[in-house]
Formats: sequence, C-alpha cells, structure tokens
Amino acid sequence: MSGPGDMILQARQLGLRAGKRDLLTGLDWQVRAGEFWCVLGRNGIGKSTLLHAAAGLQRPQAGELLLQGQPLADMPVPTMARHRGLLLQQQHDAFSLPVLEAVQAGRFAHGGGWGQPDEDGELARAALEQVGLVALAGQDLLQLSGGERQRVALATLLVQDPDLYLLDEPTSHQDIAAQLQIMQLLRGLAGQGKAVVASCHDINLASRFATHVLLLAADGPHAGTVSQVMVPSLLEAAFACRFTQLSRDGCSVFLSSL
Amino acid sequence: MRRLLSLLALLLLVSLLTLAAAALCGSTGCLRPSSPADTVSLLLSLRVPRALTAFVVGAALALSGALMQVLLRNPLADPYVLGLSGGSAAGALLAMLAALHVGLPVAAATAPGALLGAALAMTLLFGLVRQSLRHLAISPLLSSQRLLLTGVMLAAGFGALISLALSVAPDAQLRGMVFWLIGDLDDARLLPLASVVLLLALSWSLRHAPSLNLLARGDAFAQLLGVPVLRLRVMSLCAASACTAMAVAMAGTIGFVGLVVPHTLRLMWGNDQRLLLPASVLGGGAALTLADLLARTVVAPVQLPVGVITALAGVPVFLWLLARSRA
Repeated sequence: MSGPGDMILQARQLGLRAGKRDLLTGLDWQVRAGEFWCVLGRNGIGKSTLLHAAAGLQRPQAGELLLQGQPLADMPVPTMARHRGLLLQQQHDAFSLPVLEAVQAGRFAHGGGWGQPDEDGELARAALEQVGLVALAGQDLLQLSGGERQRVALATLLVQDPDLYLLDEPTSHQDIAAQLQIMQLLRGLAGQGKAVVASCHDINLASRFATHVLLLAADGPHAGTVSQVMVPSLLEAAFACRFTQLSRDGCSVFLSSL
Repeated sequence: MRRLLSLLALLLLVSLLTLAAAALCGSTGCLRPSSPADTVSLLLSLRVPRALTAFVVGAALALSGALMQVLLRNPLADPYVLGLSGGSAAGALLAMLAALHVGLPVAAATAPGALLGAALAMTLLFGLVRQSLRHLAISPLLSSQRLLLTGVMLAAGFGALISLALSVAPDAQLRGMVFWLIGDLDDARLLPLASVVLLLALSWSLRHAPSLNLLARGDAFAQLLGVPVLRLRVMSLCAASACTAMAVAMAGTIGFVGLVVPHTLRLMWGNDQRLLLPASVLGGGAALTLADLLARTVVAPVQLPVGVITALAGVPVFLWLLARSRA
C-alpha cells in the first residue's frame, strides 16, 4: 500500500519512439500518490506511447521507468499487474461474454484464476455501479455500445485496483454526463491515495478535474500543477491555436480559435 | 463452478455411452448377449482400439481447435489453419511414395512421414513468426494476422506438395492415399503415444485456462492484468501443434471436428475456457467416435470415410447453430 505523497511512477531521461518516429526525449517526470495527472498534447505527440511505456507494454528507447521505486523493465508481469493498470484506448472483443464476468477479469492478479472467490462478483458489481453500468451486468459485452464497453473496461480497471491508474483517453467515447462522471471518479481515486494519469483531449475537463498536467509540446514537455501549466501561452505553443481564458465563480474555461 | 462440473459430467456420460456403442456395434451389426464368446472377443479386440482411436483423435483435434481459436482470436480458426495438417499430410504421402519406391510396406511409412511433416511445418512456422511471437502487439489484429498469414501460406505450399504427390502416385496406390487424406481410423498403433500427448496438453490447458480466458480478449489486455502473454502464446501454440500432429499422424486429415466442436460448445455454453477446453476434449472425442460409428454402420457392410461423415453432419449443425445464435 502507498500513502499520500509516495513516489509511484518515475521517468528518468525517458526517450520513446513509435516506429521510426522519435516522440519524447529526455523526459524527467514524477507521479506521486494522490495526484491526478492529465496528459495533453496534439495527435501523434506520444501520449499513448508514454502510457504504454509506463504500463510496461512497450520498452523505452532510452532512459528508464521506475514503478514504486523498482525498474519497470525487471518487474515480473503478475507483480506489475498489482501495481499498475491501464485502460486501453480501444476495446477489442472478439468473443461474447457477460459484462459481469468481463469485469471480474480484473481480479486475475489477485488470485482470481480457478478458485474465484465469491467477493470478486461483489467487487465487480460495485465497480459497475461506480461507472453507472450496473443495470447492464447480465448483458453480453458484444451488444454494448462503444462508450459502454469503454466503461466496462474502466470497471475492470477499478476491480484490478492498482496503485497507479493509467488511462488512455478515458472520456473519448463518452457523452457529456459520462465524461463528468468519469473525471469525478478519477479525481476521487486520487483523493483516496491512488496515482492517476489520463491522456485527454478536452482541456476544459483537464483544467477542472486534474491536479497536475503534463503538456507534451513540439518544443518539449511541460509538467506541473494545473495552474502552472494550463496558461494560454503554453497551450498556444503546444496546440498551435489561440486560447482565451474566461473565468466565472472561480471556474475557468478556455475558448479556442484558430 | 457447479454448472461447470455438471456440464462436464454430462459430457463425460455422453462420451462413455458413445464409446460403449462404438465398441459394441460395427459394420457386421451389434453384439448381443447371445453371441458366441469368441466372436465377442474377436469383435471387441477390433472395435475397442478403433473406438478409442476415434475418441483420442477427435479429442485432440477439438482441443487444438479451441486453443487455436483463442490464440488467433478468431472463432473460425481450426487446427489446420496454420499448415500443420498440410505438413503432415504432405509428409505422409511423400513417405508412402518413397516406401513404394524402395519396396517397404506403405502402411509402416505413413505415421513417421506424417510426424516428420508436422515437425517440419511447426519448425517453419515458428521460425517464420519468431519475431512477432517475441513482440507484444497493442492491436490484437496485428499480432494474429502475421501468424495467420504465415500459416495460410505454409498450408498453400504443402497443398501443392500434396497435389504433386497424388499426381505422380501409381494408380494402384491413389485410392489408399486419397482415403488417408480424407481421414482413416484403422491404425491404432500410435494410440498410447497420442493419449499421453492429449493428457499432457489437457492438463496444461486446464492449468492455464484462466490465463487463456484473458488472452482471448487481447494480448495487451491479458498482459496488463498479469498474464505473461509471450510465454503463454508460445506454449499454447506448442500444445495445439502437438495435438494436431498426433491426430493427423494417426488418422489423416479429418476435417470439421476441430472447428465445429469448440465453436458449437462456445455457442451453447459461452466462452469460459475453464469449461470450453475440457468440454472440447470430451465433445470432440464423442463426436468423432459417433461419426466413425455412423461411417461403419450407415451403409454396412460398406465403410464410409469418417471425414465425409464429419463434414456432412458438421456443416448443417454448424449452420443451424449460427443461424440460431444471431436471433
């Protein structure tokens, strides 16, 4: 278990590459328990690649990643599954499966193999409740919409219950209410002492819910708290469009224009 | 868990009944309590090994098919899709031709030829896809595509070799070769070895069924939840290949059992590998034993090739299930 403020993920001089494209070079970055990071940046800048590398799916080109102080590259796969979880950007399911069973898969690293304990079903139901899908528990996964399937995957991640939550565009297929619900949920996880890193395209959602932002720009990454990084000048350089910040009742919104 | 055990017990019962029927009945009719003792023992000594051969071959093919369907994440994959059957068939036919050439008995050459062919096909396959087996693809489509395309190409190459062997074979041998290709359960010599391979593959599959459940949902997904995917993939490919190789070496390329049985069970009982894999073993064994019983008895005393029965029965059953499942 980790307490608030503990170092969960650490990138040292991290360099990433996708195919023949160099994406990130020399990234130094720390994520602590209790922080909710949003990773912002243009398409193809390396948000997904960074999340995949942090989840151990892809080896970095240079530098290293530490998870709970241990090098990610040497960590056994089952151990890794107890420390970090990743919501993939797309859900590919070829075979039909009841939703509740699909969610219980998250317990695998906690001994949910042959002798699946009864409380796993309860945990799965509670997770579905949290993502607002408990009514669909008995449905077939393949008959769900894209957004619902993504929330099933999020529920799976919740029952996996890692210390580090990595999410690749968790709000991308969601309607507005569901987007708010998910961001609220992630914020709550950080509040419980988890570390959360989510890539995101909606800068207003990010500025409202995240505690920290990693902004990947062509001239290099900017990491810091929301108020440090989410300023029009940095955003404009990163996204190559103009931003106006409107504030009302302590809430601020960015209006974008080309 | 209770459902799992009761369904398996049901299948076990069906398997035992089928085996008993296959041991008691055949092309010369069924045994009766009134039959003379020496007739009984003679017929049993012929029919029991044959029934067991059919059971083991069917079980091995269905298990291999179920594993391939998980591995390739494709419900239409079968044990033959990666060219293993082509390799063993080409090996068997070429060995038959070589035996004819040097004057050895043809029957002695078939099984070793088939095993050699399967080993060659497996080595080629593993050699050609070793890059993608070492690499974890994020998109599940990419990871299985390379394996699938390589296997299909190997199968096509072996298909050409089979045609070549058939076209240069002397007329007197041609019928025997074609029968072997369709599937023939006469030879029980490999039965002990095949049973051991089947039991090993089954116990491995049972142990790893929960991991395979996750693998069926994607490589990256399984790895993220704690399954060592690269090792599991290689091991399941090995288990499926060993089962297929044994089945083909024993009985030729019997079609449809490996595709239809796991798929039918999946459509009926869902895709939990903990149930599906052992159920495929029992169901595949029972299905092929039954098909062989039909092949021996339907137009007795003429015996039909069992592969014809599996195809004739498998196609409509499968289509009916498919139509029903979409409704």
